[in-house]
Amino acid sequence: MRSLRGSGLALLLVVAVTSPAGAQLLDSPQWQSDQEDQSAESPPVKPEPKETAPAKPKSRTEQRVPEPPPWIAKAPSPTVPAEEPPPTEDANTLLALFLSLLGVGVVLFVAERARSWITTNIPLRRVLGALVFVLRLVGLGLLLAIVLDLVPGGQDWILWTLLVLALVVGWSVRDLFADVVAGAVLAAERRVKKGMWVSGDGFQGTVEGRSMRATWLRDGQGHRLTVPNRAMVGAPMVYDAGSDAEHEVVVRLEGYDDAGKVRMALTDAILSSPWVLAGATPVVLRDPADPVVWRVRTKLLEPRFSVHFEGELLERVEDLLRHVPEPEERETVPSDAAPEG
Amino acid sequence: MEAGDVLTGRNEEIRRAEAVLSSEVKGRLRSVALVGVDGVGKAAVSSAIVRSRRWKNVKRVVFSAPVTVEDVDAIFQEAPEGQLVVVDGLHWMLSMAPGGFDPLRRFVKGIIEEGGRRRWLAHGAVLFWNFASTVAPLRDAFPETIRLEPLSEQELQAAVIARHRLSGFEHSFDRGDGSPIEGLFARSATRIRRPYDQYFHELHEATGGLVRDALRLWLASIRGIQDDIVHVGPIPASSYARVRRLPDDILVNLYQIAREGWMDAAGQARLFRLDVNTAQAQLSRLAHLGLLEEREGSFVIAVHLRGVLGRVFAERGWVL
Repeated sequence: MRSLRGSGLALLLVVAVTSPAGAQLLDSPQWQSDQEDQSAESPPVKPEPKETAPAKPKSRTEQRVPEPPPWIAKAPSPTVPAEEPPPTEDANTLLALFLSLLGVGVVLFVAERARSWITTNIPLRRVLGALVFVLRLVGLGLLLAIVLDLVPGGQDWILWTLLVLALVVGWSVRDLFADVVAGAVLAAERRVKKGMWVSGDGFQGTVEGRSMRATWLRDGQGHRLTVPNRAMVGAPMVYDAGSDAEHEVVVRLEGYDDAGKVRMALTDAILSSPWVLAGATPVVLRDPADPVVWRVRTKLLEPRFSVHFEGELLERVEDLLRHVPEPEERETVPSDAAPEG
Repeated sequence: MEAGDVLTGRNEEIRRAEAVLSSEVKGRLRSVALVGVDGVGKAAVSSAIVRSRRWKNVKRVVFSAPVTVEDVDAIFQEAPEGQLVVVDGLHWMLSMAPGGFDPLRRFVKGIIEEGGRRRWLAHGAVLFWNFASTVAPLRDAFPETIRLEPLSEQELQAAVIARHRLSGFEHSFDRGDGSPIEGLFARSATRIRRPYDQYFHELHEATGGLVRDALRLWLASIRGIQDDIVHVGPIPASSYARVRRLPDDILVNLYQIAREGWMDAAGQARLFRLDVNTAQAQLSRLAHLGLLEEREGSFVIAVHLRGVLGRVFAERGWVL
């Protein structure tokens, strides 16, 4: 809360600094328009100094100057030509814009630093995140305003060039907008979180991070993938909440008649796999439609080990099925073979 | 200094175990398992339970090498009624070879078949216990599983001081390493927190409340003894930070050794689908790095790293 209050005070300070400049902005055009009106419609008649000038006072005590007519205050100085505008007009506008941009930059910097410092207060982090986003937009607008202000009057071709350029850039990055919208959808849905295992059309891996444009994954081989956000929302996707999620593998074991032995071998193969979470109970199921197909399910240390787990499972099962138990152990197993003699 | 001689903060656990073991209800299993992170004090609690009352007949079974089914069978050969059997080294009943789960399965089967005729007391590290419980129905054979949690800061302080008092020496806490700057910082810190409290706060941070690691660091932080006063300096750097930075492949390998309790070249080869020579080389390298200790061809995790590794595995979410 203290950081938020500090940010609020800083924002107020910037507004206070920039508001006088804003007031000047509002006044200046009015002044200019009055002047233009007067010069265009009723140009002031330059009075002859000898006829209209009041008599020179003889002493300071007699300096009672009558109220000057309204045109005197705005009359151009005899030394300055009437066509030249006041030199500070454009400078004031630009200065105000630059100051505002500077202020926004300072507040943005403070907000971003505060956001990086705050790790526990999640609502405050979100508020600051929104503030950063708004400030970036404001900064962009101010930059645009400065560019427009710098364009000299009557040079419309520059504006048209900028417009065409904006259209070209917009057309070029139209896919980016789709990713940004998809990123906003993902952020609103809050489905994809760091540490989750996701699997979709052409990608699978553990989520390492996400931006407005793309999501970064680490796949089973340890490679880092960048998946555009539109791919994450444009097709069905499987989500697993981290290592707690169960991993299922289908194994085809032909040539083994003893289902109990196969089941035990599959169970022991899962347990002896180094990629399995210690203590996770394996589930071994036989496909009722196809008896040589077995489905095994367990929890892995990390989803990225799924490739190793799947790749080695069949080998482990075959090792165990080849193993001949000790004679003492076989005594308890009833034999189907008929006794000799 | 024998850890089993002094025990602090485990009265409730000892009382529970004693109640189950001394039960006289016919047909009810009288078996207790002490489960906790390595270095939490399982052996000390086990010794305290054995000493807690005058048991009729106590038999101690200690395994220190790989066990076969025949070895397990031998435990059940003579089974006098009411005997308390204390099993140490349960993890040697497991191996990753084909048929390597059979000794443990035979052991569990034997306990269940006895039906409570004898009393059983066993202890194991939490990772091993979780793993072994999926290999064989250990939780059915040991219905009373007592989880030993790491000690709090106050309990750890009491445990260390109680053991230190056995030496008969006084103690004095010196902050800093003698340099003027260090001394200045130490004096400033002293105003905020007394050196005694500060020391045990740091000790708890470094060990995560594990008594074994705390005692080791306590001894390592002793600067010297003068006039029957033990001068205790700052706590040396814990290996926790360095272990955390170990590469993933090494951590996975150590995890396998921790869950099985031991490893040999054949087991390593079978686990990671390697040839035996490569597996032997890998284990030797880990031993060379000081992460493992070799005992007659079998490798176990270095004692001083077991607690730290348990914390790292738990942080990674590798412990259920």
